[in-house]
Amino acid sequence: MSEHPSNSPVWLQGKKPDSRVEREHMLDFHVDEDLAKVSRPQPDNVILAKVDELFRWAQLSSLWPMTFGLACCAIEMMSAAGTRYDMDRFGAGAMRGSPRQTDMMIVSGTVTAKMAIRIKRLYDQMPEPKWVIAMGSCAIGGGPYFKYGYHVVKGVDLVVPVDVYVPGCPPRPEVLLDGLLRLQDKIRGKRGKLRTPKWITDYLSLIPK
Amino acid sequence: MTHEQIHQRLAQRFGAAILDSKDGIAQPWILVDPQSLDEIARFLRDEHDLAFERSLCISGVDYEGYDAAGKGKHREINQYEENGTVRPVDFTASADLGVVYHLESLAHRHKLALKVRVPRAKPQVASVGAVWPTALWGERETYDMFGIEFLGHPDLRRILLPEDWEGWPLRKDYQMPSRYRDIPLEGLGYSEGFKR
Repeated sequence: MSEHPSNSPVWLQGKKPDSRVEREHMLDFHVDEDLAKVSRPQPDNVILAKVDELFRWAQLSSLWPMTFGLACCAIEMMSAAGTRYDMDRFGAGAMRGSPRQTDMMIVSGTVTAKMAIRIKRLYDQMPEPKWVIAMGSCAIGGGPYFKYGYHVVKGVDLVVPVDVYVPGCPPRPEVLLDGLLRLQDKIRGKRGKLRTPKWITDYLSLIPK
Repeated sequence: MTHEQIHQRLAQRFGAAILDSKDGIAQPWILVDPQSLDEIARFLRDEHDLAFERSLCISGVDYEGYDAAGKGKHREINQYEENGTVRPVDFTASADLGVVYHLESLAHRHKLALKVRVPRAKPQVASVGAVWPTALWGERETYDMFGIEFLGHPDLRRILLPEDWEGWPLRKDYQMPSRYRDIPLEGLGYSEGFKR
């Protein structure tokens, strides 16, 4: 019998993260940091900002996507949700069948004119706050159907507002996971700017200046 | 049966309705008259030595640019003048539409491509849905893409595109729509009314 193998996988042997910071960097995982931020009172913050931050942390930690695939990108999305890439690590694994229970729509594939009407309706049925990831060349800008696709909408952002664009044809699951992390960054307020929800703009428009 | 025997069999029964035939190619075909297509289809299915009990595929074809002998557009293409302008080719051939039915006999293990040609001004073919029920959806798709009307089809409406779509997309004279309802369909370089 040979020596009993090590418990850690082969690619990690010899290069284990030796500090907590480095491990967090490898996983791109900030939940503990965020928790520390909200639990430690900042003297110059108002309470509303802290509650907002807590809410954002809760939102980005459980982004429930809609079960919604349009073309070959959906195969990669299923792979990202499966065991190998496991989107559930980032809280986005609960694929819901109803748009009324979802936070995020991953537009994975070619948006045809016939489907665009349905996408608009599904988006309208989602509760605020809601986010959209455009996955793949077709959803971003028509892709290979740009010139001669008589039935293809040249980008899903002509139909619904898009928060994160994930390029690729189709994108690999890692890229979709990266797009998900970028969306979480956006919700966290680290980069990008979030769209103001429609009910807030509607409400603000009612207030006389 | 060989293709020659099938052709002889049909020619004996239908005579002038069998217009043309070609053998010795990858998929031998027989061109028939669209008026008597349903009779020919029933004959092909019911005769014991023919027994084409499967309709594999129904396709529409736009023969714009092809001549009657089937010679293609690749022989005559647009020529560029010396100053860069395009000299379009005047096609002398009739610009017809057509339908191709691929048939198969599982009993005798032979195949056949049955072709019809219809004029573009009045594209009407008899439906073979009563002979092969699987042909109903293929005929709906051909209607959807080419606007060829199948007489006697019980439910002839669009199958892939929305029902209020205008035009027949796979015809060669099809103009791409700029929008469908309120959704823009043109690429950014082509759109005039819509600003992103």
